[in-house]
Amino acid sequence: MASGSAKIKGLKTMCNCRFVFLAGCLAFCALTAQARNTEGALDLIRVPNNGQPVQVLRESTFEVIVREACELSLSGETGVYPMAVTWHDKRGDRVSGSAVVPSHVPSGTYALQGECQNIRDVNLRSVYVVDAFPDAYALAHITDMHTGSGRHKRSDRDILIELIQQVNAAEAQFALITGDVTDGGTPEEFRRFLDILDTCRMPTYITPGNHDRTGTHYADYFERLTYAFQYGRDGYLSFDTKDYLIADEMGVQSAHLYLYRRQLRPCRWSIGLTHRYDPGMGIHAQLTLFVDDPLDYLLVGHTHREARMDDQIPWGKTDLIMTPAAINGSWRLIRVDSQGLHPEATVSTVSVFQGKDELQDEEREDQ
Amino acid sequence: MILTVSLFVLNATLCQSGTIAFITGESPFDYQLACLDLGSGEVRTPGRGLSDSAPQWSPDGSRVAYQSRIEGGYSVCVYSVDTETTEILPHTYAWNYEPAWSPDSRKIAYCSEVGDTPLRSLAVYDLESQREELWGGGHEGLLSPAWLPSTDMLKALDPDDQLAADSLGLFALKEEAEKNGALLAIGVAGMPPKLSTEIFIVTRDQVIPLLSLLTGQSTRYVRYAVTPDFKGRQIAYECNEGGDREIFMIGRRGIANLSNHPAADWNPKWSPDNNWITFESFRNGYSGIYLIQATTAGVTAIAGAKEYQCWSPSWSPDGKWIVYVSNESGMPQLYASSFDGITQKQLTHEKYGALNPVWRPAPQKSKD
Repeated sequence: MASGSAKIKGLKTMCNCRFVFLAGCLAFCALTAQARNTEGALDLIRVPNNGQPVQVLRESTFEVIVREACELSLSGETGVYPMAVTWHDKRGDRVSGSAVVPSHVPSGTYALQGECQNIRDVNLRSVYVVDAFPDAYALAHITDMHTGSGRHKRSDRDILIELIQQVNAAEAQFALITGDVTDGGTPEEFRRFLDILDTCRMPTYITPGNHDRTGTHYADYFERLTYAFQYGRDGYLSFDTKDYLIADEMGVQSAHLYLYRRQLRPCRWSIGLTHRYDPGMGIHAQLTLFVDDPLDYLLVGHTHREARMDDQIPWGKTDLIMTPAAINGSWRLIRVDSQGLHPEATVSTVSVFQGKDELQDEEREDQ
Repeated sequence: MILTVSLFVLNATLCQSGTIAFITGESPFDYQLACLDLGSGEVRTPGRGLSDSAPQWSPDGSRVAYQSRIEGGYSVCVYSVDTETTEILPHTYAWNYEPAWSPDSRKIAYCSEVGDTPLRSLAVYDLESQREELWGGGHEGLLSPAWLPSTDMLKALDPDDQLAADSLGLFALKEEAEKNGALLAIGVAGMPPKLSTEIFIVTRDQVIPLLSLLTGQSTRYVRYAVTPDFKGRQIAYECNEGGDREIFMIGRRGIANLSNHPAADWNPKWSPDNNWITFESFRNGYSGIYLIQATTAGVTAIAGAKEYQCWSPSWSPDGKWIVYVSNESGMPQLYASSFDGITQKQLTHEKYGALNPVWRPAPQKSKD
């Protein structure tokens, strides 16, 4: 069932609203019926979503992308808060706008809900209202979850849920998931991934990987292939690496990367997020990100292993941080402060085995 | 096979005939070579639909070379307009990219991955003898080949003394270029973690760095998209000398920064009369199409706005129009702008968008 646990959480959230219980329940029924669509894909509200959330201060603005201009509000445990939105011109079947967080919204996790012309939609875990952005903080780097791969005898879901529980117990402010969230990029795998993702209690930022882009469904679930966001003084730039022809010169991605890079130029640290770095990627993208205005760090996955000495960006100044695969039970905590990013040792304590017998079986097979 | 008919029929003020090759497809995996007939508005898709990209018309306008996926790699494919057939070139190595036609339309240069690293070498395929040769003595780390239409530029590379010429291998290079032709290419220079790139002149056996030869400086700058004009007397290229990306030109008066703007300028393309260069610039906030006059460095805006992007310009054979890609309608589609930027038309309404347009050169009569 699409985002089943997310919907249950949504029900509890709404029922905690004590203002108008009946109206709340009715509103909830209408909204959850449209929370993403029956396939789990995005519907009226495209951005922000639980793979591209916003962390924002009160009275600040954030960008929204929708299919139709609509009434927007934040829905959380303390109530529903309508927002003022300035809409821009429609381009194709998308409208972007700037939404303002009301001054009286308590800090916490919110669903963004929209309504227009009998269409109602809600994106859970998409807006996080914060009191302040700390100068020193930690983030979790997760990569290569490969939901649906079935590569271990223990189920993918069990491995990944346990890994998310570990991340939840850490002191990270948010999680960065650098691609291959699915194994085959199918709608079914994206639905199963969302189910796992929504067990995470912190904001989760997702970058597409080559497995996610096997089909054409990624944008249905997370909308943008390339985006940037700021957390306090630091800038993060997430970009798609598709397949071997990464960041090719034909599309608009080179322009997006240039614009986002310039947007993040004043930031204390500029951190790139991508699934895979390869020296064969589009040269304009490389010049933009690693030569003309080098990113300070690039977080990647893809290899399912720790970085080796020869895993480096040969243009000079950008440090590569590589984390082994989550589907093999690994993730990493990275501390950020005024001195830079400090990756801690990989956490690899999630077992991919169901029990001792299975471990022995796999060891015998290896031999 | 005719798949779609463009809804838009070009009016009489725009080119009444002509063809634009471009790429369309739902995803990069499905990208397919397509051709838009400007007279009828018909769009044909003669490509293989296997990650087709980098289309290039032969200078005689008879064929389109493009890269396309094969089992275990990429091959250069040649589509013949007259016979409507596609030839997949038989390569020695599996991964081949970025085809570029020789001025006589008889050879195709491209990048080929020879070793295990993604550093590429240049190969040249002779369509008549059906032979493939590695150029530049198999030098690794070469990108974006472009043929020099003449050896005029090489004549200007006269060192003061015989010793310097000998040490650079210039005499041998000129001799070889006269015989077999010469390529410009971007080459990787330096060693990790301090790589940069440089413009190289490449012949079958020689590779010589051009800019360090001209300026005597080390290869500290990074450059991309090098293009000679149609007579081979001027070269336009991108360079980040001075901090941001600019359009530079090597001509009779030396090296000049033509665009000179705090925002990035890239992807220079010469006009057919060699007097203008169209390029992409971010000076309006988003990516737009601009023109620069090579002699005065005067810049004219052609297309662009703060709400959408325009990119990938290509000249019409008569130099009166520029086709480019814009996502003004929300989906990348082809548009054409008059040389003065006053008239602009949307050319395609493809379901999956249109990318990488290349205007077909005016068909030439055979000299044989």
